[in-house]
Amino acid sequence: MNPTDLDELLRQHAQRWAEVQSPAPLLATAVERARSKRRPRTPYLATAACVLVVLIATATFLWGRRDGTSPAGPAGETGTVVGQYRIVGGPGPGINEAIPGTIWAYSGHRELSALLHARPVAHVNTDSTGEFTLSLAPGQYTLLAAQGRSRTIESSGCGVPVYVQIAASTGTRIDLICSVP
Amino acid sequence: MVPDLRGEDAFTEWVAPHWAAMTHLASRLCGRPIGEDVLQEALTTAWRKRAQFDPQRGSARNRLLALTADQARKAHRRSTRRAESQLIDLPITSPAANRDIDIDHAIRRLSDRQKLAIDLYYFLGLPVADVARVMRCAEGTVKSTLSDARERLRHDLGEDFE
Repeated sequence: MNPTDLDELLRQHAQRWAEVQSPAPLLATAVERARSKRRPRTPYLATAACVLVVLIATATFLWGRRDGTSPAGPAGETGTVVGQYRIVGGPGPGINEAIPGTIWAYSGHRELSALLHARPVAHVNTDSTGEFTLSLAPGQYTLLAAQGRSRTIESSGCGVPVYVQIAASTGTRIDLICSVP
Repeated sequence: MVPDLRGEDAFTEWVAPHWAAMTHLASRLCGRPIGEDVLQEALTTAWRKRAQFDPQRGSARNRLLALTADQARKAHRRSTRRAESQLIDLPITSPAANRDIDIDHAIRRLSDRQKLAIDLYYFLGLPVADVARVMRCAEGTVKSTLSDARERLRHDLGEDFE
């Protein structure tokens, strides 16, 4: 088959094809459909919005935990406990100085055994001088201090729990002592 | 001069001379049922982007055919992903029905670019320059694409065609 034959063949084929085609759809109807069809929203926007909401919720939650705010207490009805975490004792002449650490607050007055599996309602990191401020809803609490993030619960020594009573809009001062022999 | 296509009537008037060509191209590239969807999608895109039309950059026909080819390519990708089988719409009423079936089968075995070039050049009767604008490539590329397509058709149709 030479090139001219194929060229002519394709033209004839195209002509026969066009002869049997159905007429084009009504343009006015198609334009009306095109006009009324809304542009589909890209799924990326919805995904981005969901991610943003999750990030804001997470940030809010973490910010609240960082501040040591009790989730139970509505604004204006909390009291505060302030104090210092200190290490005291040791072989003579002994030490008595502030140390950095973490203060954990448990609701109610709890025995040592009850603290083992209890979930703290708030926690706060002390500053470099061992000072801390914790906002809590009014009520009774058990405070526990520890150096670093791991809690050690002891009947004597460094991990002794301390009981505190929090009243609304009132500040309570209490120092947490890590006693070393 | 840029036409004012904001109104529905003006838009319809703008599309009307090229509507049949769009319909034929959609039908050629996708067959009848899918081609109708492709045609509607192309028209919807043309409506949505009507403000972007600039006659300095190309004719209305070339733009509308390019939009139709774009939508056909998207539909083809979708149908490939879904592994759909497509019924081929072949005319069997003409005396040369068997020959037409052979030619159509051979055309469908071409690559997408070759098929588009054949459809625009032979079936829509566009000159090479306009085929190049619709395909967004150089005229030389269209000529070589057509040449490659014809070579492959010649090979596929072979001696049996004689």
